[in-house]
Amino acid sequence: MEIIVPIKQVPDVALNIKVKDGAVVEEGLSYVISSWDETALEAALQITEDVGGEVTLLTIGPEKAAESLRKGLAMGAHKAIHVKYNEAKQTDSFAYAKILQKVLEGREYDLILTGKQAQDTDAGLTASMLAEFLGLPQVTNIIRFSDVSEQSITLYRKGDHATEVLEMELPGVVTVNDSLNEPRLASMRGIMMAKKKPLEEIELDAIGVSVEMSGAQGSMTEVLQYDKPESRKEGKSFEGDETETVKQAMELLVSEAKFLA
Amino acid sequence: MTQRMWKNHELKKNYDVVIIGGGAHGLATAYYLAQLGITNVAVLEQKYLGYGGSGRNTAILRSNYRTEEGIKFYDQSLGLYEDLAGELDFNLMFSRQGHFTLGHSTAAVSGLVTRAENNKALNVDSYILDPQEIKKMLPEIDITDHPRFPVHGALYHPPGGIIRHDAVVWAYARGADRKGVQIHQLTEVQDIIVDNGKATGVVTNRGTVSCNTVISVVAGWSSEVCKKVNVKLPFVTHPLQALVTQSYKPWLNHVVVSGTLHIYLSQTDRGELVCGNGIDTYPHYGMRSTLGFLESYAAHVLELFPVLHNVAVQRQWAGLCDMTPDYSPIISPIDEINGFYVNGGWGTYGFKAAPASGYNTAQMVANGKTPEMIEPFRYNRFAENRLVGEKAAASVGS
Repeated sequence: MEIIVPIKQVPDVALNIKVKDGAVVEEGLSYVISSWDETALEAALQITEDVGGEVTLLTIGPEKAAESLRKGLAMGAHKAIHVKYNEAKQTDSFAYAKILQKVLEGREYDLILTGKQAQDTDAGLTASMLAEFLGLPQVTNIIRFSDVSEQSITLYRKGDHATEVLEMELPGVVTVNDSLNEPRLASMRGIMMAKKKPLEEIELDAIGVSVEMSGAQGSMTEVLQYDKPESRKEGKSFEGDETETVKQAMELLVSEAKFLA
Repeated sequence: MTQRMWKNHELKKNYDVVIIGGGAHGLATAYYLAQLGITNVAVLEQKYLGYGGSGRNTAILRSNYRTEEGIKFYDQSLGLYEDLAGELDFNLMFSRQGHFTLGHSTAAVSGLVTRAENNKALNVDSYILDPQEIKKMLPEIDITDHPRFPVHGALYHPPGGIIRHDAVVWAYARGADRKGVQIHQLTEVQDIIVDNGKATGVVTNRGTVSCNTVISVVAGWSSEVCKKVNVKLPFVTHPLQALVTQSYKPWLNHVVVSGTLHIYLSQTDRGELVCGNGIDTYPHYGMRSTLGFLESYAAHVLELFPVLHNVAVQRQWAGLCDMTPDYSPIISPIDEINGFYVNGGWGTYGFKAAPASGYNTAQMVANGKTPEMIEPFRYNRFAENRLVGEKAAASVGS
């Protein structure tokens, strides 16, 4: 089973992200693998441990994106492909999907497994577009999988009142929900071995991606600016016994919050 | 918000002493000042207590230093740590488990012999072990000639160990608070007011405070604070990275340090391995974690302990180290500014020093006279060429 896991390097959202003049302040950001992609990598590793085969990580990004590939290799991926790319800020899902299509055309694989969306944009479009461009079946947002064979995989997706069970022929594209698994931590040996694993570097023109296909020109949407979400205002606390504090709270809910008008 | 540990206060207009920095050293200084009867004291912390080096270290305690000045000072600190849990009525989880400094060449072992002899002369328990003796105490270590730098011997220091670093910060904070010191978090000192050559107050984001004495106890940010009063001391700030693994059953009951391999590790009571490296080679104020550190640590630790190959890394972090040229601290009044004291230069070795640092700084401020114990750490030692060279004993190389 040959599995491709496209991953995206995103700013670590656990840290405070600053926005200034409509743009994200780069200074002080630290970068990690988008968490849903890490879930996809864990699933891919479990599949290859079960039925054999190899996991290939794939990312499109600047020089520093190689660090995320190395972290994925340290977790256990077998090899990695780094498409060198410096126009991430102007690039939307459509352009990314087109570039991924160019990378994957002509390569052998059984399954493309990735996160249901990226942690930075939350768009959730790239994988679906990629499946269309490659003419492959797709199942998104899975919570479980079973019965993996060379020909097909069984996938579970949570609906409002029931779980959908789908069988998909391979090759195909699957995106994962983070409830699928708990991604493993890299071991000391894994971290050390990662340096020696093959990491293929690809320039855009080598795979036939023209200037018109990348960056702002290749994108169908444009980010005009970023704004920081408004922070919540300070809450109000009441002191005294219960009958008194409840009364005070009710009065404010009616008079100020107009919540119970 | 519960105020069980320490109380919140309005910032007063006047204090006798303002301590900049709410880490272990600043809080210990406040605690020991209060013990001497000086309680009109404010500890001003820009973030939260223990945000800096006190919360970012690897919590190793020892006193097996190289110079007479260093050994005496760190031994006083270790002695204060011994009784601290009882004194502050707080479980600090001090685990006295013994401390190995490995030597990987004949030259390194001869350096360790010097330290052992210097330690013994000052009644600090340290002695040399050969590889077979090391293996008896650390069965998992590889003492064959397979590693690139085989183990030739070790300096063993039985009194060394580890402690719970957050608890030390909290215990000193509570102790100081109970004696009347005011602790102010989220209070950033933006300027220090100097009038006619005397420190008379500080400007903060919460207003201006007047005082008779200002003590800078900010470790990694020391240059920045000194810059506010145009005092230039030889601090250069470097990041230092560390990591913690998942929890494993207890297997390592000693602290192990290798200067040649630039690594150290210990196992906490919770089972995690706490691991550190040498400082990052470039001066920097960024507290970023890097993959390069992980790779270097993994490669080096597996040379010594191949058994760790499946150990999973849980988390990594970085702190700031204000390095001085001789790898010893600066604890000193500043002659040019009456009432301004600097306690800094804690480099990679500050946490173990917190009690003695606070104790002596408090004595210095309260009595207006520098105690003999910290006289060697005056800032003018660099101009007078009487350095306290601790690089061989204070760090794991850089």
